Order: sequence, then C-alpha cells, then structure tokens
Amino acid sequence: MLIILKKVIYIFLIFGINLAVCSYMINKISARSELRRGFTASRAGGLGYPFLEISKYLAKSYRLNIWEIFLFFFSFFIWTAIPFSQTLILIKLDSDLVIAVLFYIVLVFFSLVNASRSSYGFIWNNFLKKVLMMYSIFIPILFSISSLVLINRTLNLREIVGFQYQYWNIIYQPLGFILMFTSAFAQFKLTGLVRKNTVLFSENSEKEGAGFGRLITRFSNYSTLFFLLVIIVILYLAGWQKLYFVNGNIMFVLKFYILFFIILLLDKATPRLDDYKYLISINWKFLVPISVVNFILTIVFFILRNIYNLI
Amino acid sequence: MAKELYNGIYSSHKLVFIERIEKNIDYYLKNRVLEVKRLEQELFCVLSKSNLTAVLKELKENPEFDIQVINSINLFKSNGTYCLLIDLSSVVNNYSILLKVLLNSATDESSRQEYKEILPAIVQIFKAAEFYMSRNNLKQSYNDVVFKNQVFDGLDGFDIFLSTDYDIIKKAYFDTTISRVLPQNLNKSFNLFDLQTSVSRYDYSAGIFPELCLCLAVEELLKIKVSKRVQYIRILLSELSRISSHIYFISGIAKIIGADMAHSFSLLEREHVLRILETITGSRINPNFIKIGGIKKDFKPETIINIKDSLSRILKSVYRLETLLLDNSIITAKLKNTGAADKDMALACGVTGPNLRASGARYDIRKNRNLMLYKDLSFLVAIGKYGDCLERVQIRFREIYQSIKIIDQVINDLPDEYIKKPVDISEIELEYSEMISCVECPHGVFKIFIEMKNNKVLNLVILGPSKNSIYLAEKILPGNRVEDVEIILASLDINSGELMS
Repeated sequence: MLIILKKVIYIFLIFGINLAVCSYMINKISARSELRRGFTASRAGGLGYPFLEISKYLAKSYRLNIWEIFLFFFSFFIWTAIPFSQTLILIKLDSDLVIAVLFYIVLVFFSLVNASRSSYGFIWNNFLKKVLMMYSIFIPILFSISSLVLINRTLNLREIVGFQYQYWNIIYQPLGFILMFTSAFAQFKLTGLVRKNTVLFSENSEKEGAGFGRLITRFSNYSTLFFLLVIIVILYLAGWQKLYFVNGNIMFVLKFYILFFIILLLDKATPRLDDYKYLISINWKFLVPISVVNFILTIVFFILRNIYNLI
Repeated sequence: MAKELYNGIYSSHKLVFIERIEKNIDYYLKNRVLEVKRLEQELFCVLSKSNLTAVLKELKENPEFDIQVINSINLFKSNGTYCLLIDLSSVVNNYSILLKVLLNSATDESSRQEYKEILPAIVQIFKAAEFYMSRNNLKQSYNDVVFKNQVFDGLDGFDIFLSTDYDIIKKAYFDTTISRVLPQNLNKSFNLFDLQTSVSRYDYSAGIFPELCLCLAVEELLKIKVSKRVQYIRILLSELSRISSHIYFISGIAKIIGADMAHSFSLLEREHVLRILETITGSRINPNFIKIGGIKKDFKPETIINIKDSLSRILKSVYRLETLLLDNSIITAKLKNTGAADKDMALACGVTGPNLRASGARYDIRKNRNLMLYKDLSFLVAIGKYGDCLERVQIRFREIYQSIKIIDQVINDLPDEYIKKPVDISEIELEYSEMISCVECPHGVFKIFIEMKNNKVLNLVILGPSKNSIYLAEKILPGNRVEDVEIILASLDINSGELMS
C-alpha cells in the first residue's frame, strides 16, 4: 500500500513539475518569437508565473458540469498505465499499450462532449466537424502503432522499451515516427496551448468556463499533449534506455523536452489550423495513405522474416 | 519638359481629352441638360428629373461616352432644393462625371419618396444601382446566419445577413443603416476652419487623404498655385500614410489567419512608419497638417536624413514580412481561390483602388489624372490577374515597394525653396461655387463634392470607395464558406469611417 502511495506521489510530482516548466516554456518562447518580453508580473524571469496563473483561476467564481468533472479525473487516470521507468508504474499489465490508447480516446471524447454542449444547430454542426477532425487524426496513429507492434511482437510498453536496448525503433519505423509526430502536432494545434482552444473557441461561440472549470480544461489539454509525447518517446525513442554513460531517466527527460521544444517552434511558424477543409485534406491525402503504405511494408517484412525466414 | 508642364505652358494630354468629352456632351445632350461645367479634371452636369433616364441611356450607349460604372448615388439638399448626386465613371475613356439631378419635392419625406420612385428607372440602366434601394425584405428572408456589427475587428459599420446551405453561402445582404449619420450631426460646424481639422476622421487608417482632398478642392476654387516643395512634401506624407495603412491591413489579415509572428512584426513596422509621420506632422492618426495653400510648417534637414536611414530598414523588413507571410503554404492555401472577383464584376460594382487592380484593371488616379506632381516621378502600377484574397494581399505588398520608390525620389530631388504661409481662411471671399476633387487613398478613389460661399461650406458630400467594396462583397460572398467571411471582408479593406454619410 505504501509503495503504491509513494508511486502516486512521484507521478504527481513529475506531472506538476512538467506542467510548471512547460507552461513557462510556452509563454516565454511564444513571447520571444513575437519580439515581446514575456510576462513581467513576477520576478526571477517569471518562474513563479504558472503558480500565479493557477491561483488567479482559483480566485474566480466557477460553474462546473458533470463532463468537466469526468475530464478532471480521467486526465489523471490516463497516467496509471504509463511507465516512467522499469519500476515506476502504478498498475502492471501485460498489454498496457491498448489500455493507454483506450484511455486517450476516452479523454478526447470527454473534452469534445464538454465543448459541444449547444442547442444551436449551426454551432453543433461546427463542433461536429471538429470532432471528426480529432478522430480522423487517430487513424494514422493507430496504423503506425500497430505496425510497430508487429515488429516488437508485444503490447507491453516496458517490453517495447527493453526491445530497443541496441537500436531505437525510429530506425525500423522512420515513417511511423514522422506520422505520429505530425498527428501529435495536429492535436496540439487543435487543443491549442499557446492560443485559445480552437475546439472550445470557434468563430461563433466562446466557452471555456471561468475559475476552476478553466483550470480543468487547461489540465486536460496539457495532459493529452504530455501523453502523446511520452508515448512517442517510449515507442520510438527508446524511453529510459541509457545512452553510453548517460543515465536513462535523464535521457527520458531530455528527449521529452527536445520534442516539446520542436513542437513549440513549429507551432509559432504555422498559422492557426482550425480550417476543417485543410486539416481533412492533409489527413486523408497525406497521413492516412502513408500510414497504410507503412503498415503494408511492415507486414511484408514481417512475413518474409518470421514465416519464410528469408531475411 | 516637366518644369514647363508644371508652369502650365503645355496643358496635359489628359485635360485635352476631357475637353473633347465636354464638347461632345454639349453637342449630344444640349436640350436635356441645364448646365455643363468642367471642374478641373471632372465633369459636372445639372439636369432636371424628367430628363434623367434619357441622359443616362445616352451616356451608356453612345460610344463617345461609354460609361459602364456607377460609383454612388447620394441625396442632399442644396440651396433649399433637394438634389440627387450620381457619380458615373468610364474606365475605358478615363474620365468621370457627376450628375446633379434637381428634384421637385420641398420636404424631407416627399424627397425620400421621390428618391424611391427614381431608383427603379436607374436600376434598369445601371444594375449596380440596386444597392442604393431600400431592401428591408432581404433582411427578413436572409436570416440563417446573422453577424451583427462589431463581431469582426475593424468592421463595425454594418450588419451581415446570410442565407446558407450547410456551410456554403447562397445569398448575402449587408445592412449599413447603423452607420447612416447626417453630416450636420457628424461635423460640429460647416465653417471651413473647423472642417479642416475634423475631416480626417473619415479615414482612420490614413487621415492625410481627406485633408488633402479638401485642400485641393479649395485651392482649385481660389486658383492658388502651390510651390514645388509643398507638392513634394504632400506626396511624401501621402505615400508614407499609404504604407502605414497597407501594413495595418496586412496585420489584420495575419491576425485572422492566426500567424502571430507576422501580426506582431507588421505592427512593429507600422510603428516605424508612424514615427516618421509623427516627427513631421506631430500626430499619428489625425495629422491636421495640410493647409489651404501650403502646409503647417516646413521640416528640418535632419528629418530628411532620418527618413533616408529608416527607409532602407523599412524596405528590408517589409520584404521579410512578405516572405514570412506568403512563403507559407498553409496561408496561401487558405487565401487562394477564396472570394475571387473577376474584372467585369469589379468594374460593374464601381470598385476602385487596389481591389480593382487585383482583378486586372489598370486604373490608378495617380497615373490617369493630373494629380499633384506624380507625373514627375517614376513608379509602376501593380496589377493582378485573378482577384482572389491572395492577389489582394500581394497587390498591397507591391504597392508598398512602389511607395518606397516614390519617397526615395521625392527625398532626393526635394527643392530648397521658401514656403509661403497658408491662406488666411477668414479673409476668403468667394461667390457660390461647386468643386470636385479626388485623391487615390489606400482603399480606392476618395472623392469630395463641395459647395462653398465665402469661407462657409454649404455642402460636403463624401464619395468614398468603401461603399462599393461592400457591394462587391455582397456579390462575391455567395459560393464561399461561412468560415471565410471574415477573411474576405478583411481582404477588401473596408474603412467604416467613409460609410458615415
């Protein structure tokens, strides 16, 4: 019991520190790229700014509904099946990759249902389009995960990391990595950490709640992005495997932040992506066909090596 | 040659052309027109209500006149009688004509009734006149989607009513009643001295142009010839404010698309340009600098060095801004093929300025008329081909480069002359007289019709280009998506100040 409590506290600590550092990075980098100074509210380079923001949200009056509460709990439940190292995992399962993906689908579902409460037909129509976008981005993710599972022949995330002790999966699946990263980037643009959330803020309506409700939606947005980045690091970039003499945990953190930094820079270089037509076209004309091709190539490779023993 | 032209030894070939058309009007419409005048470079006709349709038909069908464009229709009261002011222009023959139609009615209500009766006859000849009819029935039928004023940034002069099929717009209607203000309420008094300071409010993004237009009109009436240095300084100021207005337009586009870096860069660049304007005039938005017969004060030689230094920097950063905004495939994919207006449609709506040039018509008042000293300077008129949103943005960038070229020439050959003091307004003595003047402002052709007696302005009619842009928006919105409404309207550069009339 005590061991589980200790693990929970560790995971909460990791999540909290990440939240503070990432929100600091987001604000500072976006300000610097626009030739602004960034926040001047607090001293020490604005290090305490994330905490100030949280207290600002909490000070306001709030109104909660049932979907927001679901969202809040599920954005923490999502971390139960994800390993941060060989031992730091709450529930040990044989096929935790499936659980993680399912959890993620549920989280996206709740955030969309929360966004799409409306009695106006036109607005409902617009939200439905965004739901479609979020879920159609899922197809390349699932394809690339399944082709990776074919190579590693396991559904266990810890075993997948163990498999990469010599070569990282990015060498076997370069296309899959690019697809996963692009899909994560598209999700990031949709949930919008730097700007307002494009799912919640459309051209016709604004609702992101005030006070605690706003805090919850922000938490869930951060949580979804962290989850995608952690999954990419684990699946393709060898998670906590050590590199020469560098400690595995440090490598994990380093990879996570490098990916996060690249995503932030890409975000500043591209305009807002809330155009349904454009997103659908890049998804169905670029991401999905390439992921299918990648899957077929992997199957051929798999059959040749494991069934006919040709390679 | 340029010096002799300036001194008036040779009359410009454009003026000769207008003289010929004036003679033709005298010949063809002798019995139907009460009076024909040439007010500097524009023609002005007075006619009675009964002859209107015959005159319009003659003007449209006779190949000597060849008028296709109706720019605006205004109802106003002059000397106790109600009049209709119809602005017509011909892009092919390169001239424009103002018809003043005398109405029979004596009261406000009966004049409005008469206005409603006349319009259907005009619509049969010029279809674009339907925009000036009362169309309340459309408001009730097109109400699937309603955008109230102030929904979009900077576009707060009208409500938009749309009828849609899923997200494709079928019909559009713009209601501009909210911005309909009587000029008596808008301007505190019609004293010329007060009007000079308040006229720049008609254009909030480039306030120098209404001032310039008013001063040109009064100078023409008083037959004042201003010195070359003053003319050059006026050109310098107007080109600077054109650059600032265009950069402001680009910042608006970048904000709608969501390109944060381009948005903040463009606002910074506008700041550099506005700082130069501020050092010369002392104000950023309402300069109040151009006076009748001169300017408020001459600037020092240090400011010229200052402008020279910052000009190259502005050129470099505008180029950087263009690459940042238009080298991005996501942005160009969004702008391309949205809100396309072909040449015929743009001409029929009476659109002028960069919006018309984007759809392929070479029409620029700076080249086509004898405006100030633009004939001494060499620059190109940027024209597009397809007239979509991307083309409209590109045209603005190219115009900025041309403006920088003009400023460079102006600074290099600025003559060192003594500037006379401007005319004392209280001493002006004039008979009752009318005047038209026009300038090429960043949104299009800004035209003023003015009636004066001594130093008192009896009537001031603003014929701005934004009304025509709204009419064009009504035409091009059908077929586009509801999500694109904001970007199409922003790309037309509608200035809500001019709508107030």
